[in-house]
Amino acid sequence: MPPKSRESFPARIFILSGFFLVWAVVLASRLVHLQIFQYTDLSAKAERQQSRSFEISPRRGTIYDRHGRELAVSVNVDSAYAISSEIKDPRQTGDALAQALGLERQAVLAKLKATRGFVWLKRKLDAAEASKVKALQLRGVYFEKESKRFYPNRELAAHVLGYVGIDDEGLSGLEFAYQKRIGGLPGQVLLHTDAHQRSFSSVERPPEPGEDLVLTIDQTLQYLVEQELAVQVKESNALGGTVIMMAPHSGEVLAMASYPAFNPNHYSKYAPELWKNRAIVSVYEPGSTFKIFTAATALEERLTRPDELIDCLRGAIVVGKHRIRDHKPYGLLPVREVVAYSSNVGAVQLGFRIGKERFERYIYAFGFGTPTDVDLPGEAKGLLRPSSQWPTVTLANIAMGQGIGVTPIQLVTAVSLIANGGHRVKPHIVERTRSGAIEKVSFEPGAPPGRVISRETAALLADMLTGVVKTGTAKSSQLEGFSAAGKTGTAQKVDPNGRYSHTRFIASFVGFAPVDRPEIAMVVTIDEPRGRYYGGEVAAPVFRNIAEQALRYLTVSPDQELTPAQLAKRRPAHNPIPDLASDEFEPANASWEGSPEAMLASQTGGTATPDASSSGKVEVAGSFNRAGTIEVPDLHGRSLRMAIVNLSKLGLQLEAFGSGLVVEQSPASASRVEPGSKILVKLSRRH
Amino acid sequence: MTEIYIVRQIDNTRLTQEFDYQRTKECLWLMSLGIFCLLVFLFLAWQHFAVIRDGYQGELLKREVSQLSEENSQLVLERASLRRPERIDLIARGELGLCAPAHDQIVVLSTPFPSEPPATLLARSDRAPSEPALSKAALVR
Repeated sequence: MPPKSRESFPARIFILSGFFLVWAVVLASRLVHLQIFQYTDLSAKAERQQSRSFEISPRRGTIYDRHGRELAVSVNVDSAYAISSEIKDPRQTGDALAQALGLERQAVLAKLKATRGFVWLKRKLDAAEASKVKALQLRGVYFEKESKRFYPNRELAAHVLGYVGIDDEGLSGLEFAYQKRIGGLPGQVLLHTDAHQRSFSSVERPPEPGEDLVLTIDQTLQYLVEQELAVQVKESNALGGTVIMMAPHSGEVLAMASYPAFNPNHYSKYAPELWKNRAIVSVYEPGSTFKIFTAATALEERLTRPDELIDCLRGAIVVGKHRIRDHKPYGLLPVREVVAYSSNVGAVQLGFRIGKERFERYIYAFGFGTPTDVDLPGEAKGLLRPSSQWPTVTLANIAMGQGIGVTPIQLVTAVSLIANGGHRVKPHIVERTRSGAIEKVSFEPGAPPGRVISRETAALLADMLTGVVKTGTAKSSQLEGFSAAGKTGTAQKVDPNGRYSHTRFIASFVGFAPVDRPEIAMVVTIDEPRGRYYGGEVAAPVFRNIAEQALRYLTVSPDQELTPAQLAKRRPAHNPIPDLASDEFEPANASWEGSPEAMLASQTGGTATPDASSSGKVEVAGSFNRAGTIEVPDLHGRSLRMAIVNLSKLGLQLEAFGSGLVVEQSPASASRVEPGSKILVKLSRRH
Repeated sequence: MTEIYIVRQIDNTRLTQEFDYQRTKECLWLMSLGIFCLLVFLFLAWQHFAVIRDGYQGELLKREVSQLSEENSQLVLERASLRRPERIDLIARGELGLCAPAHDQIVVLSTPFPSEPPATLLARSDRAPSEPALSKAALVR
């Protein structure tokens, strides 16, 4: 019926429109409710679900040695944490975690039950632990990257570098002293994640990485020093020891070792006593090594001359109620021998000539009684009472190295002054800092500390100290091929009753080498050696062993010929050394005989034939004849080193061009030349 | 009561609607506007999803960068561990049987060598082999 349907059409439209209207109103109401009334709660909830904000720890600066070799490196590692509310079965999860992380089951369970939110399970996991936990795929257990400090050389320079705590805060050594510069600043990141917790956008405030430190320490020298120190401390059954090697002209500390050492990767497993850097915190009476400064003051003030005779009173002098003795009775000794033989009586008499106030002034000028301000924290300033409080016997004691407390760093700095022609240097360990491509010089010498003694006095002292090494108490510190100057010391420790001990000593040696162009200054102290305890017996050999190797490592040209005694003591021929420069070993027939006899034979024109009793020795190519001319050996295919060795054994010189192996030589092999002639060789890496 | 309905036939077939240009124009304009809006909407939607997709991609790359950076740090650490003097010393002395050179086995070279000798030098040296031709020499001890 058309009219009826015509009438119902608007009604249906009306109903439908009404329905839509109601639907729209409901929808709009709901939207208003959600968007306006519940906006704060819901947006916060969404934020929590979809966004994660966390701190990014900055990369801690790397610490390098002077040649750019890493001494301390930070690497990001996983730390495991749990959101307890997401864990359905804490007991089962706790068991699995305890097993994977090597923790106590109860401890893990307690952590999981302690809070419903975030809890650290274990921080800075090693790779094995992290992979074990990841393999478990536990719900509610997550990982976060944290920076962990590693010391790849383990104990090497541990006392210098220090260590960091669990929160990457430097707690000792350079790590502590330079915390603000190498620590960096943390960043912040805001992650937006989807329902699967995958991030699809992030807003980041990047962390500021810490500055890198470049030290004056040389890793190789440090190793050398630590090895020799450890050997001596063990051999002498001592409590410990310390060695500092310094470049005397610049004050750069090349090596600083204390023994016993600790591994800073696991510092908490060592007794806190071992964390102590003896080189800067141990204050001890320097003993006879201090006579250097007594003599220096007397010479500088022109109160004596090196050749002035001092009456050593047959080994004893009475000061007040005290009788001061020498270890041997001496009569008249020139001042240089007072130092060489370490006469206490002679030193006391020089001290009296100097007087209290003047001596005090010089002692401070040498750097004693105040910290050296080396870059390390906790440096001791030593012990030095004001001269107004010195009784006469204290002046006498100080003149011979008792009644004053010094640190090894003070002593080596003061000796560097003598090696440096009388100028003081400021010891330092950090050469520069590096932030990205920007390099900053860390060490600012500032106002020069100035001259303490004249160049002439320094030269006189160097000469006197050379005498100590050559003929005095430090003969065991004579170096093979290098001149050395130094002074031994054997200081009595103080017993708990306040008296000087007759059984507990600190043996020490302080010196520098070579004498004319000093490259290294060094102090060696050995604490309470058993058996032999004199500085000349215990500390001086350490100086010798270190200095010989160090000077060769530093490619310092020898300045002395070997003495007959040294030649006689030489070890037999060494193993052949691979030619590392050409990245391949020498051919079997290219090894040389290193015995002094062969060397002498070659220098005197004899034929360097191998000793049948020796193994691994090969005849040197080329030969001498009676007329005095030498047959030039065939050097083709030899390394530079081998060519030099061959020619030197024949008394010939070498002029080289290029690098690699010998490809040309002139004159040709088998030519005859005069001794001392130069042989030109061209080297090439292409064959 | 009888009702009478009168049916009146109206023939309006002759009537034709006048073409309304204005309305057509309006329709076309509206349609264009609609299409434009649709395109804008589609563009915005595409852009929105592209941003999300690129966001995922970006995050993935960031993770990769961070992972590579970490690997690099670990390799640096490994290299430093392998260069440890103690380890090298043990290998040199223990495995390779090396020992420190003696005094006379050490050659200190004073200056780096030039790569090529002067052209006349070799010839001169060949002519007079015993004549010390050069002043700068390697220091040989």
